[in-house]
Amino acid sequence: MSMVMFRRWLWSSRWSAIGYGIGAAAYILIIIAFYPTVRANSAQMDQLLKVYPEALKQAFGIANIGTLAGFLGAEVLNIIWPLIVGVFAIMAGSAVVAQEIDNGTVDLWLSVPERRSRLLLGKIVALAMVALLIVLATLAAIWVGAMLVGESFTTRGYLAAGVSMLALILVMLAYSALFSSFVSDRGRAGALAAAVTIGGYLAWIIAGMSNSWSWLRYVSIFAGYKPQPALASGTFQVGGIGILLGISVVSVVAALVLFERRDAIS
Amino acid sequence: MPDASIAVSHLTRSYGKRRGVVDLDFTVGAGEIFGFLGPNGAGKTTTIRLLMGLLRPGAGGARICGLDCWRDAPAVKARVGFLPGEIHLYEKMTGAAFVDFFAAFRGGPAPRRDEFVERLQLDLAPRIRHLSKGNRQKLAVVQALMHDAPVLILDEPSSGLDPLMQAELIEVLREEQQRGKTIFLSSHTLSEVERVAQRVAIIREGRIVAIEDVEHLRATRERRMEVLLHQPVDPAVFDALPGVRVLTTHADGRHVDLAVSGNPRALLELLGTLPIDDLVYGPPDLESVFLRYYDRADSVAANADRSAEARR
Repeated sequence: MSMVMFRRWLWSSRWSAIGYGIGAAAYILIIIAFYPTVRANSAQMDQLLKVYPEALKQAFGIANIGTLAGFLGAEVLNIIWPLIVGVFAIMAGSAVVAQEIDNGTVDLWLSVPERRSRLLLGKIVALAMVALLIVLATLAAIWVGAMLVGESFTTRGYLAAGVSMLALILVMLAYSALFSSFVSDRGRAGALAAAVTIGGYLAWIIAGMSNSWSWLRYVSIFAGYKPQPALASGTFQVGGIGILLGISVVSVVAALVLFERRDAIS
Repeated sequence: MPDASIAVSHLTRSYGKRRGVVDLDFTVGAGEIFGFLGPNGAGKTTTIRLLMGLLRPGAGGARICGLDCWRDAPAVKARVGFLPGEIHLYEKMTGAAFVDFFAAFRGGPAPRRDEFVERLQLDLAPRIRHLSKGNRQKLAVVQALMHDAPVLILDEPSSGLDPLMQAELIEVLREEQQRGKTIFLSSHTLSEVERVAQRVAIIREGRIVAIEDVEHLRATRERRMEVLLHQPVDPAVFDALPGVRVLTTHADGRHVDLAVSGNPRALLELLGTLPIDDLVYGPPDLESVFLRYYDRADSVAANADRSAEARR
């Protein structure tokens, strides 16, 4: 990996890190502010949930809404948070190569005495660091919020939830970078990545709604993403996370190989 | 002294059905300034992208300092200072951050950064998006030169520079040659190439149509001269001189357009004896050079077609 490229890309992504980190954290703190009301009326909330369509509850992972983990899962972690980080991952990942071609800077970028794959890896690792910062900001907000409403999670719970969240961002970054490595315009790379992400999200929801469609969960990256049980009980979803990290590694390796071999012209 | 030469052999590359470059064959000796001349779209930038390992050759190959430009691209780039043809820079960076970023890939501050910044009167403080076209070009030129690389590949280096800066750049290139640099200089301006290069390749529609010594090119290429006379003069007096052709005459022989090749001394002596009102002597005309080679290339191609037909 090129350390020069890594440092440069980390520095130029600083506003993304700050923006998405603060955004995710602020959203979580605001949502947690509503939690005491839910907790005080948990009996009624449970009654309310009973009349919710089962498929909807399954699809959006709505369960144990009276607990903080269940509440966070239903209100943030299963719906909004993946969308927020999805936007980051698709925007940043699809830019790694295609933006240089789009902007006409690719000639200069690749005039430095460094292998193309090492340059690209420098960018991808820098974005993985930004992803880690966003996850840490999210966990910090949950920790502060939980404290403010008199709740707590175990360290293992934070760790397990953090790993699950990080794996989700990494896989989205990785396939966005893969698309970026073989197309020549950022819009198209972003569109491909968005199609995969939204398609996977829909598959995940549909799989949760009906048993006859449950096989669909195997085509979705979201099947490996389960922050709510991780936070509540500290369970590491080893299989799901393994699959996400596996797809990430394969995508990144494919991106590096394709980028080494392709023509780089604007 | 390492072998700082460029060797291109049967280099061919197309973009799908679009023509790129076909069967390029030339060498640039260590310490030589080699001009690469052709109109826009002739294949100059494609050639440079092949030299820089940005494109993979379809056939043939290129070597710089004995290293393959595609397979050993990182090692080649360590020996090359590169100026791209179309200047697109990282807009958000300051000039200083930009040059330091590129220097960092070669292990730290560029050895001759400050020298060229001063020489080209460049201010590194502003962000690149606030720079004029000329200053962007200067920044890219400094980036290419500052590493003190043994080989320089420069695509239209004077484009966007004002005439004073163009002259300064020519001077810089001459000095770099004296320091032993090998310089590959693409241009569509004949006068620029003539002033510094020792040899010139002329490329047309993806093929090299001629490689010539600049001395020879200078002796044979034509310049236009317009002569305005007070009284009509018989155009035959011009035609009688070696290297002078009468193109047109107007105003009853008082306005004569000439094509002049080689040494103009005899013509100047004649003009001294004529009742001259005014005189325009044009710069070396790339068009006339191209026309000459293009005509030749066309007739070669036509001959090839004819002999192919005859064989059938």
